[in-house]
Amino acid sequence: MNILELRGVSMTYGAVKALQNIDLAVKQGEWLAIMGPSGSGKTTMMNIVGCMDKASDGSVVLDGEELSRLSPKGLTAIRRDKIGLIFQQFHLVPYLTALENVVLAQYYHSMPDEAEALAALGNVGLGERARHLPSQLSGGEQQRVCIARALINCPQLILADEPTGNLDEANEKLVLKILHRLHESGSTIIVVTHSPEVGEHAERVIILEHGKIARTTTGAKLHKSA
Amino acid sequence: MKPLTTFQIAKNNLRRRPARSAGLCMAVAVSAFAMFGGALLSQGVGRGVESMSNRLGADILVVPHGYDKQFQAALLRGEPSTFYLKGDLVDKLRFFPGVERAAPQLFLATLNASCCTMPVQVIAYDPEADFVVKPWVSANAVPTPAGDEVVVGHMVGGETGTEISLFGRKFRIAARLDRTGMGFDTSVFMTMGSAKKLLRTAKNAAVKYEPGSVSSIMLAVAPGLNIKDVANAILREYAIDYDLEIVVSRSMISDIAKKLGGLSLLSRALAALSWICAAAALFIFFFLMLDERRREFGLFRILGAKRGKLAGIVLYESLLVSAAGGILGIAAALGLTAPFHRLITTALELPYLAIPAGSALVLGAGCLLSSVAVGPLSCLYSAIRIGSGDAYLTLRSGE
Repeated sequence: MNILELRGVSMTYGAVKALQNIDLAVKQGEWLAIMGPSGSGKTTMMNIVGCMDKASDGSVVLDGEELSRLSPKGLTAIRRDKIGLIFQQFHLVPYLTALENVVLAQYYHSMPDEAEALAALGNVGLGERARHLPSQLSGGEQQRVCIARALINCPQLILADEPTGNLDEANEKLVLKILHRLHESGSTIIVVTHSPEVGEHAERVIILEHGKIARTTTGAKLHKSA
Repeated sequence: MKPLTTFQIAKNNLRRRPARSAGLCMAVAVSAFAMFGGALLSQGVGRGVESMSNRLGADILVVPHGYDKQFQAALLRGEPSTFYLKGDLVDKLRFFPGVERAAPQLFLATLNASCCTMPVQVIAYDPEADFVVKPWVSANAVPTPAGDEVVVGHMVGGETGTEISLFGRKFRIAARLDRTGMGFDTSVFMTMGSAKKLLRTAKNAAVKYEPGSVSSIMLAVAPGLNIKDVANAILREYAIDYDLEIVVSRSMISDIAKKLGGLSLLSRALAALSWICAAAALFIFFFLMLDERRREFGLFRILGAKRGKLAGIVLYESLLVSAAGGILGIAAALGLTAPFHRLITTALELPYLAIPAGSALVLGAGCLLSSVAVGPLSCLYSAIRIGSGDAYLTLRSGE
């Protein structure tokens, strides 16, 4: 069963065609990597799939909902209820503790549950650091808080934008390990990255060039070619 | 962990950025201080003037030439001074055309600490003729002090029943008067007979006294007559022979009222200016903060926050800042105005009578309300604009 379907999706900014006639289907529980050089349309696709922007043309269906018909309010609701976002820059609120940062996502989604948030932090190995402010955490720890926050509302789709872009090798491995665990437990993951080391962990990899899908491969093949 | 709410988010932001929060609080605190302190001071002076106007039953005050300022200082603020007029003038003025009543007073300054318990203004009055001090003493349910007794003003030290030393002689404190807001609060009252006896037997030569002299003569003009005409007639008749000066009490009070008007205007202008400054400071801060925190608000939007919730964070922050600043400013105004009002009113040459606690409470509540309003009002524009624009682009801006 497909959780996400893009049919003939295009996006133009003035004269610039950021995406051109994209067709893509992502199965429930699949791990997909979107790769490509800068300006290839990765972020545009991330924005459209993540309900942060609307395609100029075509249809985007997420978990049975046609996104192009939704108002900004409707898109906010879908994003809040169905998508867990992981950012390259972590984007934690500096004056809230790790625990509060996770609870924040619950607060804007439904009902805050401290025990659940603590468990989420425990799952990413940060149970002991729950009361620390972001400034008291390392980059890797901040990214793990960001992951815990993305997972707290049990999203249908985990959308990670360069999740290891700001991490050292050890922390990159740790984050990828968490993503593997999530994948094994049945989560659907879309990772936007330009790093082959990250892309090779995915089941399927699409490579964008000039707003088009230039080729599709698998993580394993990507690993071999590297 | 306290449950996370919009209020809690705002509180955490302020708590974990103490320097910035303190700076914002101070802007509001200064405004609240100016507003409440100014109002306390001008209302206190207003009550002081009213109290003086009510108690000073005399229309004309006759003092030695060149002593009008000292007399006013003694009357308004109890600054001790001693001056004399020839005593036979009392009878002459008592029978002067247009004068209904004349009451002499003797002012003795106890400036020399070795002679007296403390520096005070001794005011001796004639119980037979007096119509200025006596009615007021009686209003306090205090009988005329006996020969070895004094009645003390509200701020003079010493308990009722204890003794006070004046020019080497001990007097029993018969009673203490209510607060008046004028110089009477720091004065000691005795009968003219006691004062003359005291001066004759005074061991200390701190005061030179010419027997039969008085310091001032209070005159009540017969109803229907023009006070200034009577004052001018007295001046024409006795100014040279007695080297006297006349103070028309209504003019004196109206001069003081003019000063009060100026003070009130100044305090209102200062309060308004500081309120506007606080509002401008907060407006600029919250406006700039929009830019500084655009990623944070973008993240909130991505997590599902509606714009109303974001506006709520800003409004709560401003409300907390202005409430804390308002309380701080009002507390500071209370703490500083009370001990320093005497210094301030002395400098301004004005009487002062503190407003009752109930009125101060109402005034404080009004000032607090006005201070609390400054925050939400000044950040309204920012609260409306917040969360506009593309949330994800905002979040990623600068990457």
